[in-house]
Amino acid sequence: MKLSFSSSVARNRPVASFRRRVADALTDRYLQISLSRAANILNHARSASYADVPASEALRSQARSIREHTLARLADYLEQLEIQARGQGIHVYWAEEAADANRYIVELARKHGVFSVARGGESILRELDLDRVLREAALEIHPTTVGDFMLTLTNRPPGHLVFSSLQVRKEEISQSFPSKLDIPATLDIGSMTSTAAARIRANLIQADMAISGLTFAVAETGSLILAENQGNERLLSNLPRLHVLVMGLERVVPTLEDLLLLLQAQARSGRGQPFAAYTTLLNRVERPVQSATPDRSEVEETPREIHLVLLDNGRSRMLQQASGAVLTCIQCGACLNACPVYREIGGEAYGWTYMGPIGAVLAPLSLGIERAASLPGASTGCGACRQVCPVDLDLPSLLHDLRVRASQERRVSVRLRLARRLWRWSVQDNNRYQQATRILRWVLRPWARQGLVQSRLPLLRRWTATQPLPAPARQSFREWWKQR
Amino acid sequence: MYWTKNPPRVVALFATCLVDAFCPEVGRAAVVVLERHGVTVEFPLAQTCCGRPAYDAGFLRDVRRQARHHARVFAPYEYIVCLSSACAALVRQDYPALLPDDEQVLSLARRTFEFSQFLTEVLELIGVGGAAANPVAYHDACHQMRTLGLTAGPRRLLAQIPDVNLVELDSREDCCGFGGPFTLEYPGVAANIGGRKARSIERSGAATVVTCDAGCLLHLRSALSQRQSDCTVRHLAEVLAADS
Repeated sequence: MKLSFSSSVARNRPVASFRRRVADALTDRYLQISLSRAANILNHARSASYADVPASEALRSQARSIREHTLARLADYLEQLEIQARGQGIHVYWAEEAADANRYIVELARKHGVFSVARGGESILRELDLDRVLREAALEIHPTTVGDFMLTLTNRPPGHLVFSSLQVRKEEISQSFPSKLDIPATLDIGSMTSTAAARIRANLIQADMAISGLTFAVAETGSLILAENQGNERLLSNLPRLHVLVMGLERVVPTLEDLLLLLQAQARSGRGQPFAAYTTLLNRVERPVQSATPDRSEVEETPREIHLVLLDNGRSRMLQQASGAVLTCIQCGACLNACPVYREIGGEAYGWTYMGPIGAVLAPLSLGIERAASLPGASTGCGACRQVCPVDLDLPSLLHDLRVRASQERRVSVRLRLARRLWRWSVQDNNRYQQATRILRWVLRPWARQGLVQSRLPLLRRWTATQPLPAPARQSFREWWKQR
Repeated sequence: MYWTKNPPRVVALFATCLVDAFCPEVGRAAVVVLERHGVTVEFPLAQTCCGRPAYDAGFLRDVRRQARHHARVFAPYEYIVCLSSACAALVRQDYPALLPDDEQVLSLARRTFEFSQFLTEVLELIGVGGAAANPVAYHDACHQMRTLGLTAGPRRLLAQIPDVNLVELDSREDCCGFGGPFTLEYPGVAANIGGRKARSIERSGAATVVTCDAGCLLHLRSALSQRQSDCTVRHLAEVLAADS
C-alpha cells in the first residue's frame, strides 16, 4: 500500500510503539496535571463561549451542512478557487503528495536565494515534515508562534493541535534559555513568553521567505485566510517578498458568509473565542515591497510573490472511502479536550501530526491501517468527541469502523484475540456459559477480598497493578434464579 | 404508596453477563422492584452475552451471531428489561443497523428497555420508594446519556426516594473509563480515568453513587476502593429496592 503522508514522520516516531508511549505518559505526573488543567480550562471556555449563542445547535448543523456540501462538490470549488486566486496574481500549485509540496517549496527558496524561513504553526506543515526538509536544504527555520518556539527550544513534538506546547514544563524550557538563547534561566512564565515573542519578531523581520498553513480559502473570492492569535502570520503576510501558503484540499469554503460561520465555529469550539484574535484575508498580491539598496542611493522595488500550495496527500483517496466524512473536520481541537483518553496520554503518545480522536481516525486512514491499527482501539466509546464537534462529525462511528477494519484484517493484539476465543467458546450456549462463569469464579475467588481481586497474580498483574478487578460473586444470578 | 398507571405485564429480564457473574445483587434487586409493581418477571435461562464486547472490539460477525441468538431467546416476550445501559444501547441501536432485514431482531430492538426507561416510560411509575445513604450522586453512563438519551428519568426515580439528598458531580458528562475491550487493552489508562472520576465523586461528598450500567458500576467500585473511599456504588435497581 502506498503511504501518502510523509513516511519519515512515521519512521521517526513509529505508531506501532503506541502502547509503550502510553505507558510512559501514564507515569509522567506532570503531564497528567497539565493535561487535566488545560482540558478543564478549554472545556469551560468552550461552553462559556457558546452560552451567549442563542441557537448553537443550529449553528452546528449549518456548519456541518456547509462542510458536507463543500466536500460533495470539492472539485468545483477548488477550480473556482484556483481561477480566483490566479486572477489576483497568486501562484497556485497542486501537490499530490507531501514530497511534491516540499520539492516545490525548496525549489522556490533556491530560486529566490532564500536563507532564512519563517514557518507557521499549522499542523499541515508538520504533516509535510517541513522542518526536516528545510533543514536538509540548509535553510534557517524560525517558528512563528510562542508554542512552537518553546517546542524548538526543547526539541519536542507538539502535544496538542492548537496549543502545541501545553505538555512542556516551564522548568524544561527555562533550562534551555542559557544555552540556546544566551539568557539567564527564569521560571517567570510572563518573561519567558515575552522573550519568545520578541525573539520571534526579530527573526521574522529577517526572514526572506514565509511559509504558513492556511486556515481556509474562499472559492467565491479567492481570499486566503489566516486565523491566529499572535499576529505573526499577519506580519508575515506583509513582510517577506515570498509567501507560501499550504492548504489541505478539504479546507476550501464556498462563500465569505460560510467562512464567517466556520471561523466562528472553529474559534469557539477550540479556544472559547468568538473569533481568533487575528483573522487575515489575503486577497490580491500587495504592492511591491520597497527597500533601500545597499548604498541607500535609491529605493528598490521587488514584487511580492504569493504561492498557494493545494495539498492532496491522500485526501482525495480518503474521500472515495466511506470514512471520507472525516475531512469535514476543521481542526479546532475540541475533541482532544473532551476525550478522556487524550486527557490521560497527551498528544505526543499518538506519535504523529494529528492526535486525539481525530488523530486516531486520520492516522490509519492516511498512514495505512497496518501502521496505526492500535489507535482506534484507544477509545472508551464514550462519544464525548462527537458531542463537542462543531461540524457534528461522528468520530465514534469512524473509530468503530476502523476497529472493524482492523479486526477483519487480523490486526488485533494477541490479548484481544485470546479474549475473543475464550468469549466465543463460552457464549455459544447456556451450558458453556455457566461453565465459564464457574471457571472464572474458581480462578478469581481465592484472591478476592471484599469483592475485589487485588493480588499480584503473575498473569493478571497487568490488570491488577493499577486498579483491583471485580471478583465474581459466590452465586451467579442464574444460579440464584434456579433455586428461587 | 405505589401507583402504576398502566396494568402490570410480564417481562423478561435481560440481566447481562456482568450482572449475572459479578453483581447478581443488582438482578435480585431488579426482580424485587418489578414484582413490587405487580410485574411478573421471567428469566430465560438460554440467554448468554448480547455481544457488546465483541461489538466494541470490532468483531461484527460474532455480534450478528449473538444478536440472532438473543432475538430467538427473547422472542416470546412482549417486554424485555435490560440491567445495563451499554447492552440496552447495543440491542436498541446497533442490532438493527447490523441486521436490518431480520424482523425478529428489529422487533427485539423495539421491545427492549433499559431498566430505568422501563420504569419511567412503560410502567410510568411516579412513586417507587427506595433508600440510599445521603448524599446521593447519579453517574450518567455514556451509553445511557448519549446513545439512549436517558438523563432525566433516572434522576426523577432517585428524586422520589423519601428524604433523598441528590448532588451533581462536577464531571457530570465525563466517562468513568470502562470501555469493555478498551479496559483489557489499556488497563492503565482506564484506571487513570476511573481515578479522575473517583476524585470528582469525593469532591461531591456523595455517600452513594448510582448508575444504570454494570460496567460503570464495577469500574467505579474498583476506582473508589483504590482510593479507600467510603462511598458505595449502587445500581439504580438496588437503591429502589431498598426499604426505607
